[in-house]
Amino acid sequence: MNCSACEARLAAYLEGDASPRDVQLIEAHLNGCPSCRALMQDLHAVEIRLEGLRGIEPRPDFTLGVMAAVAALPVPKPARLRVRWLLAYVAAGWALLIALTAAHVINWQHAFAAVATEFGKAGVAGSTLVDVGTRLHVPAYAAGALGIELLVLAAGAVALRHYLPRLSGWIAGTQAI
Amino acid sequence: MPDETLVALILQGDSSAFAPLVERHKRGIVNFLYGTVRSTEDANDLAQETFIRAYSHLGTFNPQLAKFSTWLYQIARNAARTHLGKERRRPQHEELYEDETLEQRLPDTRREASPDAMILAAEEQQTVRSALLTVPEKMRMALSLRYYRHMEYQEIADSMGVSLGNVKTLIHRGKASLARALGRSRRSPIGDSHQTQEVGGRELLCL
Repeated sequence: MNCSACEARLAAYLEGDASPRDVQLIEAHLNGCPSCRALMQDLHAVEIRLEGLRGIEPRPDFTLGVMAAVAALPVPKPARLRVRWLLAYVAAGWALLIALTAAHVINWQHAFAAVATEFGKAGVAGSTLVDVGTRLHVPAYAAGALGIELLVLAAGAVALRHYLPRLSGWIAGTQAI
Repeated sequence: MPDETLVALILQGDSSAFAPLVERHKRGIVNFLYGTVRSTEDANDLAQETFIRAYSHLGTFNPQLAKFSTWLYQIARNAARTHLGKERRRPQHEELYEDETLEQRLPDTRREASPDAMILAAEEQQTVRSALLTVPEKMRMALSLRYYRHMEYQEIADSMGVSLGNVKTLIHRGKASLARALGRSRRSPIGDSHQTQEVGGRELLCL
């Protein structure tokens, strides 16, 4: 055993917490190492000095003071992540989009045409854009990506529902992550 | 009644259920903070602030994730960190704790024989307390709970939210760190040790 290993185990040794094998190794090391013997004496002295430390009593009106301050605060309510609400908002958003499309309030063909026109102004032919888009299956990918996004959002919300109160506590300085 | 039941009562609207929680934990929290801050007044103020913060954020406490005491000590730890951050920005020039005179730190007169002995005992407390401030935070926390509050290792583990083995390691290492700090304070004024956060350590003379 070298000095750093001995130093790390000396306090445990003094408290009788070291394993029998460690006890043997530590004692063998202490026999030949004045530095660690000195540390052991220091640790023994520290133990005595720590035992002599006196704690303090809270001030007599401690609880009264806290309760008076607390009386002025709103009664705390359990903070829960509204997973169902979150999903409801997403579903409502999609329903609105579909409804507006069905009612021809949003005309996707016009919208795409407008985008294509903008690209045309920039020097890219609209037909080329549509061709490239179709060949690369962009609409299918876009629809797939939206579906996946929804699933990830839902799964994330469910998975994090235990941690979000903790996260908000951490932000408020009341909780370690 | 367990802590978690009292918390549930408060969340149902019975704020008076907070009083037994304060009564139950105030000594531990005050003494825990006393190991970190410079005066009994600061320790009391910060402890009260801890309970008030705990109350206002009680809705974020999740009994499935931690014990109430672990959560409460975490708030106290954060409060102490904020306080220490403010202290560091303020110039420190006093050796005695700001609002304490030596008389206030004097021990129980029934036990101490002479005024000289009382002064020596008060100085001894001061020396150990100052050295304790140089010990890394988690070790200091474990040592404070053990020696100011006389908590059992298992209670400390519950309060800190760590394993029993971890508490033993923290206390053993904390003592070694304190031994080095006290050894150094014999060679230099203790005021220096408060500013020297890193304990250089004993030189290894043999291998």
